[in-house]
Amino acid sequence: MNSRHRFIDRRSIRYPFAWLITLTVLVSIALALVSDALLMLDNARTDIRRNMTNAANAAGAAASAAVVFRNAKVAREVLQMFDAYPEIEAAALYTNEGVRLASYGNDSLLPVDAREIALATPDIGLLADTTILRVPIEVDDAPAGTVYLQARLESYWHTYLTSIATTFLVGLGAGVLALILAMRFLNRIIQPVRMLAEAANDARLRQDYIPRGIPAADNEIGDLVRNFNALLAEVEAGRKSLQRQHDELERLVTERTAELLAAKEAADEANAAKSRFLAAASHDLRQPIHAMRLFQETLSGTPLNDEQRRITDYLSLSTRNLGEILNALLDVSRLDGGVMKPHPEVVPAYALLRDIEAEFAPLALAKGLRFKFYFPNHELMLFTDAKLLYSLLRNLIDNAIKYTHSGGVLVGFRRRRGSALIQVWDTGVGIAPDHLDPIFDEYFQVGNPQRDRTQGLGLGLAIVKRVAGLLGSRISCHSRPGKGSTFEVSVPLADVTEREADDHASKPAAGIATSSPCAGIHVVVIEDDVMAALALELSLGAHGMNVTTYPSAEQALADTRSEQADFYVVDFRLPGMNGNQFLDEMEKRAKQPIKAILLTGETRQAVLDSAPSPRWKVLFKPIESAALMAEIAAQNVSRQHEPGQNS
Amino acid sequence: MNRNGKHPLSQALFLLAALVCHCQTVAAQDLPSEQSVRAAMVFNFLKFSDFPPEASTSTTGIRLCYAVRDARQSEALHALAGRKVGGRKLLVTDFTAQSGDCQVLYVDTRRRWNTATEQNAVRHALTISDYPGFVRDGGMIEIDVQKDGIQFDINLVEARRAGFNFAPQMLRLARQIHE
Repeated sequence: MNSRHRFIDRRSIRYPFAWLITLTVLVSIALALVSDALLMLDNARTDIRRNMTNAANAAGAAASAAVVFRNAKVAREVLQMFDAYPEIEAAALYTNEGVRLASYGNDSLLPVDAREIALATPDIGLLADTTILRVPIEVDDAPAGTVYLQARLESYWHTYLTSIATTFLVGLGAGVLALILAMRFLNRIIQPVRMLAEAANDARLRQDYIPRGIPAADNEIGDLVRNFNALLAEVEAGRKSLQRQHDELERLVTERTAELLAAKEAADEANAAKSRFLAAASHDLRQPIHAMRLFQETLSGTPLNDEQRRITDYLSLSTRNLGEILNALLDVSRLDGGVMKPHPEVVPAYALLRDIEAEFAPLALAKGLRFKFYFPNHELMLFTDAKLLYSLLRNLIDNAIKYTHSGGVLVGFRRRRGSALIQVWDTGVGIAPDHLDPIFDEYFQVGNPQRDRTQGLGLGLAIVKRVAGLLGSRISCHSRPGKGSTFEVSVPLADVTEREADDHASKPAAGIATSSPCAGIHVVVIEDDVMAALALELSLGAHGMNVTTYPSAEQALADTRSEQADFYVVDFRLPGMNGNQFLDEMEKRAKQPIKAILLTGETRQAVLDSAPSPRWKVLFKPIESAALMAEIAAQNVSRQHEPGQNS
Repeated sequence: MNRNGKHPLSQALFLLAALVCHCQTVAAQDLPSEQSVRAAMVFNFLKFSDFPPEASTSTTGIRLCYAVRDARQSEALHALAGRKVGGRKLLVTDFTAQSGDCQVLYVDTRRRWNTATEQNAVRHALTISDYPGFVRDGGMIEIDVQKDGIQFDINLVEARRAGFNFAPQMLRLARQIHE
């Protein structure tokens, strides 16, 4: 970029600077011209009047005697003095009576009688052509006559305009000089700043922070340059330090990564070796077990005495156990070996539940346990590997039955956030909190310290965890020792099920809670029957209600949170205080009417005998979920439950 | 004849008389008398004259004495009484009746001039007359009324001797100056 181009570069600070100076100069010139013009006009007028007055006075003094003595000849001679005043084009002397005694110049411009002359001398207009003057002649302080002049003013205006033009030219010249000097001085600022800008850009682009050799004068600009270089030096030092740390970190990371990789490879190799060993060992062991079973069955078919038959039965049991253990080991090894791959497909939940019922209902019944299912009214279509899911459920349910001695097992399917949540509830021995994680480890068993192999090998939950992982889920467990446990896993729903579910969402069925009018309300359930309490919790929860369950009225009353409930679903027959008494007490505490339903399995008469005129709505078991939801919804929208009203 | 159709002399006389008489309504056809003209001339001479220091410091005014036969002349001169010259009042008296010095003397004939000169009272006076030869006879200003205007001659020697000076403007108007 040449210097001329740079001079008129609009981006450059010179541009506004030049404008500023130019504007200042122009304004100054304009102001100077105007003030000059006005002042000089005044001066010019003064000069004109003074010159004319002096001339008139001189003529008047010289001609006073001539005027008094009426000597026209001498008066004319006196007027010849105006030859020295080229601007005076006409003049006259008048007697005191106003008669013109003598004239000079152009007679036609002169009044004949002095009385024609105006008393006041007219103002001299700007660039006026002529002006007149009337001056009295006095002799011995008494008027003796009048001098009259008329003058042309071109010469005065010429001087006047010349002066103004000179002022303008001088001002313009000074302004141009100032502009040039200012622009040259500005270079002292712009040049180092430009060099700084280029150096900064260069440093940024090339990542080169070596201080630059920019000339630094002993002024503020020089300070800027020095500080810039110092900054560059700091940046460079910091960058180098950072680079060193980065290199060191890289080295450490590379080392650790290599170590980890090696460790992982070793672990993987060990695991693979283990699995291969297990697979080979399991497979090799299967043959003799198969043979054992055949031998045992053959032996059983031969005539045996009681003692021999008893031994044969034990042999059969042991063989079966051995087979199961080996199958479990094989499953684990196959899972670890990555041999098993899930093949997801659309699986109807009902079908799964039917198979589960067929397999496990007899087992539960044999132990005197209840075996229940909970599932939504409409079909749930799962998108998963049916075999893997079944084996997962089988392990869970098997465990549940194994560890439950009274009560029952509940298998629940419900929708939750676009997936199917499968839960296995039991009222078994429960699991201590510090065992909740280890139970998914291999060979971990709760309550089998003597390692009774009839209780299994402790691989079931390990298999469940691996299968859940294969299905893209996680198995979780909640438990209360002595009360029971819940295992749950989520499985994706097939898309077609989602759409059907939306179509059926309006039906108030158990398990469909997305658009329930009571969604979000807090419901307290008091039910001493665990399974019934579970069923209520699931049913109400499926409609979006937040449910808290208590096994007794006393426990509910002891928990202050139960006082904030929006609704109460209470069994009539409870261990201590009955349901009606509980609701009365709760209403007293609330100090306002509460909404509640009493559930009972007894007859109406039995209820009336126990609690004359219960104020709460009573529903008789078995209760349909729809009826329960309808009653809750009805009470939820009404203002107040009137006393004495029963169904 | 000028543009207005009047004789220049008569116009001049008229103007002079108007100056002397302060007559604002003088009709054009009323020509002033020669006596008035002479009196006006005398008054004008006084305006352009510097009196000697002793006369200038007098507080009693300027005494104009006249020695004339013509009653109208004396009357015209008397009309000047009370006018101011150089801030001093003009006192007009008959020369024969006065008892003090005269600062100005107007005579009409040689005989009266001779009579006046025999009395030392006129030694320090400005002397004016209109008889021919007055300046030769030692008078200071001799008026000569002519057709084409009023002329006057000045005897500067006598005037200076008496301590009088005349303004250059007046000297310029004189027909003759005797130095």
